[in-house]
Amino acid sequence: MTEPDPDLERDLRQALRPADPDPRRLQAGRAQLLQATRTQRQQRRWPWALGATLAAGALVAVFAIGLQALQQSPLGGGATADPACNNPTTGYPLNSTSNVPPCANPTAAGTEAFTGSVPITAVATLRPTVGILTTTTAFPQVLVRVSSQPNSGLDRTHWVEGTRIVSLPLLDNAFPYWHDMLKPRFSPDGRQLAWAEAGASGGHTLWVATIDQSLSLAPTRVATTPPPADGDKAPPFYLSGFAWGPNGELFYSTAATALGGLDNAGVLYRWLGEGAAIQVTTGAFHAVLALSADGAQAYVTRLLPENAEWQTAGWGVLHVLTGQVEVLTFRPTGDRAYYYSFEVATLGDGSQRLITLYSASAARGTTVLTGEPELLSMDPQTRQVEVLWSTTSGSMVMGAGDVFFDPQDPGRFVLSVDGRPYLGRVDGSAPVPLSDAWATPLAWTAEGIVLLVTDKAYRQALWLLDAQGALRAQFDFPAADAPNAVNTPVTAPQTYGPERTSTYPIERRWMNSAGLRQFVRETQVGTPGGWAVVSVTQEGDPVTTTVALSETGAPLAVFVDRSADAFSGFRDIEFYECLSIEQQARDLVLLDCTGDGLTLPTSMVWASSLPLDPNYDLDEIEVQLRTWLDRTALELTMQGEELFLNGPQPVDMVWTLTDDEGRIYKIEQQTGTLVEIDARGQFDLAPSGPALDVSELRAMAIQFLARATPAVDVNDGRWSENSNNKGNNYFFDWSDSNGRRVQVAYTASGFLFGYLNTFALPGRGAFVEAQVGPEGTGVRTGPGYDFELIGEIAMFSTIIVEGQFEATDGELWYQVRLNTGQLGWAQSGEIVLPEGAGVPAVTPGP
Amino acid sequence: MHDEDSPLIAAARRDPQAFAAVYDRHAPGLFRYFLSHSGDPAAAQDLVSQTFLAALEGLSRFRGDGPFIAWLYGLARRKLADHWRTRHRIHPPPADAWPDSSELPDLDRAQRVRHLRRLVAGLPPDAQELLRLRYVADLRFQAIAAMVGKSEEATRKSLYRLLGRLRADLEEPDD
Repeated sequence: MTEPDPDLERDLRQALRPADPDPRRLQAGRAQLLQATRTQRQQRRWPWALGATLAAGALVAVFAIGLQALQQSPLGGGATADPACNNPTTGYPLNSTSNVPPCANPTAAGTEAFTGSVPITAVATLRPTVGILTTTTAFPQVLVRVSSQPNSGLDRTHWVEGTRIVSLPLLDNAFPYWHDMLKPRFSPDGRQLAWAEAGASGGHTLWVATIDQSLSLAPTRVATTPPPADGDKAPPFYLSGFAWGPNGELFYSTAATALGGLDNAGVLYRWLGEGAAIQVTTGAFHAVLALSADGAQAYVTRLLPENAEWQTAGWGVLHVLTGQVEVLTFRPTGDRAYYYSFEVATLGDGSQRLITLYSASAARGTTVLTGEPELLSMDPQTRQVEVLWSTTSGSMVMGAGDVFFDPQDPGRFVLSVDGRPYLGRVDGSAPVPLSDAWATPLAWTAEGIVLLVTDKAYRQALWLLDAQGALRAQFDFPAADAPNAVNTPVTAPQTYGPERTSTYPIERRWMNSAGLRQFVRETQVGTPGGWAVVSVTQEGDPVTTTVALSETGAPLAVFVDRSADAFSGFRDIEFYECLSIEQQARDLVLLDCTGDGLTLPTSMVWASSLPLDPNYDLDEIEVQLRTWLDRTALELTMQGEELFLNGPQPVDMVWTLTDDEGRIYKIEQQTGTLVEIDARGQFDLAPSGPALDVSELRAMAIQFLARATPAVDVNDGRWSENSNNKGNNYFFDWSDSNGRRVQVAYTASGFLFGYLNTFALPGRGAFVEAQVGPEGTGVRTGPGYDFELIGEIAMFSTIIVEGQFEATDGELWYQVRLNTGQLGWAQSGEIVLPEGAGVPAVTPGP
Repeated sequence: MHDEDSPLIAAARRDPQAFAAVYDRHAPGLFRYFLSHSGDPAAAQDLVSQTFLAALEGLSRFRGDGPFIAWLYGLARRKLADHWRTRHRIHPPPADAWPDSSELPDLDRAQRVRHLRRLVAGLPPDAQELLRLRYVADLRFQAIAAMVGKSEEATRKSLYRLLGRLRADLEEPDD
């Protein structure tokens, strides 16, 4: 073995090592990270008591509740019945305003709950949930997967047929991720069931079972794909899907970023009914969804080339024989275009429709869709696209889900929007609520619409409705499926009086600490003695907090929808016995009994009395700008945050916003001050009138400052004027001795295209951006080699020099600021100042 | 197994804001690593952010049975893979795109460094990656070994064999 060679190693570092980053580059990332840590910190203050999962959007397949609630509730076998319903079996007084008769009493004989007895033997955590895995419209069954832990794979599947529920075997499914591409699918004749499972190694196994009258399954292993390469174990980049062909053959696809020597591509297998599956072709696709009626084409998902998120996957047609993938486009795509869901529906006449939930401009996430999403349908033969539904709820949709067509009437479908089932028609008419129940449609079978319904006590059941919303049957889940549940139950059974639902318009908005517009998106208030639900949603990073208040006004539960995991959104339901709610300056804060801080009493009118911080209310800023800019209908849209380099300190962070004409606005985060308007991209809006006199323009600038920055009087002697022009663009500019600056810029015709105001920002002395020399430099706590070394800066890095000091030995040292904000000292010979730069002399501290 | 990040990680588990200290320690190295791969400072900055956000999000999944930095760089490599996938594989810049070594005081050494860059560019990707992890990211053998799935000793041997090969190539007269 060759021994290390210090010279060679030194030269390798020199050869390979790029310069250290500009501190500001890392500062922005650090700020972003700190925002994230603050969010985590706040979340930790909440006592997580019970978890559940809602995976919606692209992969809506799971709707979850805490089984503990079932266990403790009448529905789950508890003791309390609802006297109003006199229904000891269900105790299900839900949504009296629903067009579903409340407390309808399905025949007890019709409910045969869980004839199987496969125990859950391994429970990784104590957050039991019920998840709905799959449905089918081809055969009147519903498969229900009961999980002891979201995504744990420790799942048990139940099969609902007619009025019977039968347990299926517990699969050896230990992979911590699964998604609806893996959901079981029935063969066209309804006699076979195929499903895939992902093992602990990450490999997938495809199983097929023949269904006999005894409802027992004896699955056959059809294909096993190897585990993906390292780095591909986590979805979304290791996907599979399968679909039955018209002649009973089964197609199975698997795809990964690196699989079998392929880069970011899929492999298609075909199983002809016996033996093992054989590889058919490879191509630029990810998951096969369905086969065309003639079996020659497969409808597949594929990643859009410029996007990495799973949600941005697009559609394609895979020509089975050639492997060629043809791109299907529902709408012209933009940078933030998202296809949220992928469904292939077979209508009653046998024709197929590709159904997708599409948004041209969407927030990332799986449960909250923004950008005015549309539900689109494409006829794959004609490529004609129809709009099935488009949002009317403030450009934001919560929990939009799978679409199911009426097998008797292909023009009719049911879908879930904002947790409520809607009935729609292909003719483009507005979908109408099917039920006020908090419910997710699971299937539209020959027997009716299957909904998973959750009541306010978070008990859950399956309902079978007819197309008019009348309840035909109900199935309950047993408590026994969560034998190890230890979560805090709802200690007192909730009873509810007659309810009245009111929905308030979205009018309360504020900006939260992460700089995202947040608003009360829905408030439902019960009658006195009833209940209230308040949903708070933030844009951009879709996290929704919903507070359910009990009849006494005390919060009963908090729902938090998260999309941090881009693959599967989570809805956690947290139960509180003791909780208070407070509205701090910018955040909605929920405190448990041990929390401190100002606690506001809760009441039925809590939501409408949320105080808003004017500094962070976009409405208020909009009102100001309308006055300043003489625009009556200006509206701002949050774009994000960035470093503000025009301020006295190069470390200020600003929110960036745009108006509908494209102007850019920057609001400094610490002070909430509007510090910049940039309309250089809007010169075409400038009036074409005659050029104004410079003195007129200057007067306009001072007048504008009087409105926008009333605290600044540029004539009070503290400001020096540095106004100038570049051609026909005039910059009226004043600054003080501390680096603060105001500037208003006009075109000659009087169009305001720039405004800068750093008056309210902390001032700062002069500094110089310098370059570290080829040897790099060490940074010490003081100006001398005897001081402690606190950092090293790589060669050619940019460094901020704030002062200089000549030590007693004649050495000149520069005071430099590290990217952590810390000050230190570096020897001047290792730093190259820009030509002519002057550095103020400073005295080292003690 | 000693892991110098353990105290910081323990603190971050108690209080997520303490994770900023982890950022301060490792962000510059990660930036260099990404920059050496992509040649694009803006992309490197973005990838550093993405990696740390992913690390913060997944900190509970870090079991501590290997060095934290190996886990962090594992995340980094995935982010890099994602980056490449979406950017149609932007290749690292050519060797002469790096800072001009002519400013080095020793002209012979500057020439040798340029030659070295060309030699490294001709190595297989996994060998380049090994050099990057060691001399750009400044990772210890223990961490590199955990990442590549070899023993520390085997990793050390691989690197030294590589250095020997480079030294031999350097000593060959130019054509």
